[in-house]
Amino acid sequence: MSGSILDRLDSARAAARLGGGVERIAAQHAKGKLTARERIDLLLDPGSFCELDTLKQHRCQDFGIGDKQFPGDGVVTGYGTINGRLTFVFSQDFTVFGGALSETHAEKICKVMDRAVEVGAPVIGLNDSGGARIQEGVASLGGYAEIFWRNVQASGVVPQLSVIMGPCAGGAVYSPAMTDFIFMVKDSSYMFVTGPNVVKTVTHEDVTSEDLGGAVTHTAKSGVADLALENDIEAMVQTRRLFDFLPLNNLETPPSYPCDDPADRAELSLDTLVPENATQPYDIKQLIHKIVDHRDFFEVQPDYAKNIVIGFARMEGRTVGIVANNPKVLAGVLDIDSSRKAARFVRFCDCFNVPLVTLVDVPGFLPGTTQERGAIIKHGAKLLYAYAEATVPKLTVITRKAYGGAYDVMSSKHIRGDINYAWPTAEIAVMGPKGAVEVMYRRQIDQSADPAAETARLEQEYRERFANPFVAAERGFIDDVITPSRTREHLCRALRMLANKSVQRPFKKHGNIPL
Amino acid sequence: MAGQDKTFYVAIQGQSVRLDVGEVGETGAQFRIGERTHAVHGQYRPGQALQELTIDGYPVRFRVEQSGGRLTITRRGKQVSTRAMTALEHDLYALMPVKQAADTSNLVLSPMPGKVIAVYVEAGQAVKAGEALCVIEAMKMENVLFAERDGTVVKLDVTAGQTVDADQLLIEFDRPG
Amino acid sequence: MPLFKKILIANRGEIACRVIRSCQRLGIATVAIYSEADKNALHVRMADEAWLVGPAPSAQSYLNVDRILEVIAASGAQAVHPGYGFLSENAEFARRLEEAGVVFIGPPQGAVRAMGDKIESKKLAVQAGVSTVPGYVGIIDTPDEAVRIAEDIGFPVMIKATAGGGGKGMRVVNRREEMAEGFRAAASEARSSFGDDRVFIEKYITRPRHIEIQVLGDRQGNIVYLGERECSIQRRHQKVIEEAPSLFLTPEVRRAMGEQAVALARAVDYHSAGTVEFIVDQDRNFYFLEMNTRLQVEHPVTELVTGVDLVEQMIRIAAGEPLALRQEDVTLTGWAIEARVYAEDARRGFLPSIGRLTDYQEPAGPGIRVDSGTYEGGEISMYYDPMIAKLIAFGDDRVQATERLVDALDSYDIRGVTTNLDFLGSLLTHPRFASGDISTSFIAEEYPDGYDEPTVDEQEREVFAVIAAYVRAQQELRARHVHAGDADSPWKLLKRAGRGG
Repeated sequence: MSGSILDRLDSARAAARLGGGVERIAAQHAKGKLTARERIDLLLDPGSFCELDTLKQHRCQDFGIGDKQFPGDGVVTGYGTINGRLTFVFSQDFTVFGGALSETHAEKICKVMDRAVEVGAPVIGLNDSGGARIQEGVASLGGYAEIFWRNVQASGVVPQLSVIMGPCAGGAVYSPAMTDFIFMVKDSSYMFVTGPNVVKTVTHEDVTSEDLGGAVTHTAKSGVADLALENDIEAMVQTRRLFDFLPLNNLETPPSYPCDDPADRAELSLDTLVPENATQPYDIKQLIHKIVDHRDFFEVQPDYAKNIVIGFARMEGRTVGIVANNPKVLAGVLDIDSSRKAARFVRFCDCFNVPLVTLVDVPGFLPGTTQERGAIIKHGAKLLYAYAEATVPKLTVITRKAYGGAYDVMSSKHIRGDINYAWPTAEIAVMGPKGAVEVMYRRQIDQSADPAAETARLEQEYRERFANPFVAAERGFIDDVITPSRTREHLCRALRMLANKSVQRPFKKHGNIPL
Repeated sequence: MAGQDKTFYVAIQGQSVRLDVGEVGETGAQFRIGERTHAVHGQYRPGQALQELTIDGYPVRFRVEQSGGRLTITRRGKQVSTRAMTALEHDLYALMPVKQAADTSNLVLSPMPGKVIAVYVEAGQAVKAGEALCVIEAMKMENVLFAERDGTVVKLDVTAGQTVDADQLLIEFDRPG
Repeated sequence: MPLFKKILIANRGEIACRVIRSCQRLGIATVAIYSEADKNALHVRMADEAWLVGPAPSAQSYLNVDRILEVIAASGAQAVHPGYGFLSENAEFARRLEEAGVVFIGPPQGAVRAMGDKIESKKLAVQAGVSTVPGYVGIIDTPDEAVRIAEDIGFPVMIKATAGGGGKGMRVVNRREEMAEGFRAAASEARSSFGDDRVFIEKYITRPRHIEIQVLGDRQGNIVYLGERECSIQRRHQKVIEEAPSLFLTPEVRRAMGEQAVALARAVDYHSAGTVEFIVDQDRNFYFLEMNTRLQVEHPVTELVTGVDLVEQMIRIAAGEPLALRQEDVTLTGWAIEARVYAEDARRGFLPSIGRLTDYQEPAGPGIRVDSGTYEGGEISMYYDPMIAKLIAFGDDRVQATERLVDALDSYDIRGVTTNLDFLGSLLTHPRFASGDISTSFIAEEYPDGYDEPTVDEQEREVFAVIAAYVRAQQELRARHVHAGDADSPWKLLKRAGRGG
């Protein structure tokens, strides 16, 4: 081989590695951000990265940009492994044209997405881009659309993870929006459709990028993002952690992880988890930590709609998805935000064969004009739809309340929960004693000699008759009433039994979930 | 299949300790720090707080707690927060600017809509972190709000019996010093 | 002589469990009382029967004498062990028990009353030939009088409330100029804490050690002393760490203190268990402080070095048995150290930490004893003292006992509340503890701003680094073993293939 060809190859590779140049790299670091390649080095197993299209260049000649060429065109793409399992990755390079997306930049991303779907492996996108490359005009918008189309084709076929590690504005946000999980880095990333400058001119609101679309805004207020990480390094570490829970594609069962946590581990503290006093809340996360393997619970959206808890864990080494009402916040009630948060998670688990473990303590739906006018009817229906549609193994444990429609929604047997357990402290009823007695016995109470005593007596009667799991158990709506300390054992056994669950539903193009 | 890490850096109380890995297996490892070699034996039990290893033949008992990338280790009356990094992480961490600790808000907001059923503090009162401030009742559940840091109550914006919205201002503290 | 058939324990928490344990060993049926907050408490589960005595606040439950007497009658309990605190030094309660024909497992009422008044008890001590703090044994009416007496005794002096205890109603006065304010403050605090503003004066012993003598007497007049306990490690007059014996005493001083303690007990016709507290100065001069006419929190260390079960002895004595022990039979072997484990945040002014114990696992091993009143899932509530347990270690010598205790602290898993376990470990590994250079001002001197993250030296840092690296390495090793899910069964694949779309 000619020496000059090899020399040329070497210098091209060296140039590609430098991205936009040493100065721009220094600027990136000064902002507390890593380069595209540094991020990939952290994300993938050392030495596993196979880069594609290192030398690809843009074809635009307009606006004098034809002379400005950078090998790779602002994005590093390829495949590698995370703990030995294959994944595809694209990492936008902010040092090249501000990471702006061109037709060729998009082509690189589309290539890895296509390949990922063909071989059945996830796609991880590290977003750090100023947006469309204006010089490219419509071609750039077309590039985005090609990506969007592929996001949709891949949705539910392979897991797609987005990590926002810099700006992500305008139309660009729609790609991560359609992926399965979005992580953001605090203080150095933001997502919004329209930036503060335009917002100021149109609505006259004065707001910073951080407030409008920073990591905290999207994880705590809008629920758009799932986790806010302290810095780029943490973001890569947590992305690896999430990845280890997921199957590579929708035909695989969830991965298996080493487990020396005995399946029959009894936890005596659970017997006193539910307080005697009905007005005292407790933290459902204490239950989650005790029943999963090694207390390892990867919570998703921890700061949004805290009245419901979602996340991944493992039982006997296999991934499960956990959904749990948290009585500690708003008494665990279902509302717009919590319904939406849980619904999407349930559907993700269903896409990828992840069994669902649902822990129920829900007093109902949150009343009020805000909820009603905000369409709680539709949003609550989302969760109901998601559970009913799901064909993965569905296990449910009712710890305390399960009232009204919320009882039906939370993975009840009627919507084909596979194994439904209740603790002795469970109360399954249309509504609580106070409300019920008021409705059913209004006249009787008014006509009685001592209304207060009569009310108390009737409430007690109701409590004995309904505020317990026995009625439901007698009807077979609950498979068994279990001892709280043995919850893990029961769930592990049920999961083993349900491992080969396979159901068929009638053919349809897709359902019409209320959106 | 990826290779094993050859070097770790552990950040402890502002210092960074470099450990070179001699070998690592499921029941033990060898580390070299400077001139000294340390042999570790024992099972690390994930998810457990109590751990026991032998280091250089001596039994070492300690408690751990993991939070994000930090591992808090407690032993013999000393508790330290550590971060163990691979060589790559360490090198890249050196590039990260040290973030200022977030200004913990001096405002106590209601976490949910509900009714204030008790207020335990008054304007001008000095309060210690962890003290109960007030009780919010929502959906028949009583939630006690606690002070996140030491401070003095500057202003009470609600009274017992009042209904509040989520994020409504309840109590204002002085700014952290 | 037959012991009782049934004993009611008028207390809660660890001491109630402790008493129940001895009763179980002696084959005596036990009756527990509980408040609504303690419905699921350990002492309730351990006892043979349990009765609700009232809502959570102590005044309405554990101090509710009328209700407790009802329960005694209804349950048929023949005797009552009051533990410590609550009604243990309540002479009125003892009297009403006597009226009801129920045995109070404790000292005679007269002794309780006499020792409850500090001035009275001091007078009795002087009469019994017990060494007392130089001072004026009478009520001081005015600051001027106080100044005169103080100049007599010699500054610095301590103004103390006669009805006082627990560190309240006390003021140190170093010079005459400070007397007016000190007098006023002590009296005022005494009035608001005890409803009695009478004060007296004593010489203030600088950097004293707090050493107490355990006495045990039967109804027949035999009284013995069971050695001492060093309780100098205190925070705001609350004991944190106690040990038996004391590193500081010589056999002669021990004997002198013991004999004087017995003399005092005899002066009030004492029977049952009691403790005579002394302060000891740097020259090993000891002075009587007060007598506690009940079982003390830190009694386990005495039990471990003497081999005597004090609760059992109290029961036998109350049943009329003579002491099987004579003074010459009492020997002190080995060393015992107790650490009080509290649900408090040592880093935040020791604020009590209430909540549910999500994890609770006690240490075990040679020489380890845990006197606990709770279990995993139990509650630490705001109504009562936030003590979780007493952790005691016994060894052949002080060094071994200390090592065992430190190890035990590192093997104690308590989560769900903040505890003082780290602080205890710091105290026990402090060089001054090892050398025995301690006094009641030890904690104030060494931890003036409270307890915070201590710096580690180079050697410790290496150990922590090795641990952190090992943990990380193990986590990485495990993660590498993640592998694809098992191949789907034909059942599943065929069904799936049949799916349309």
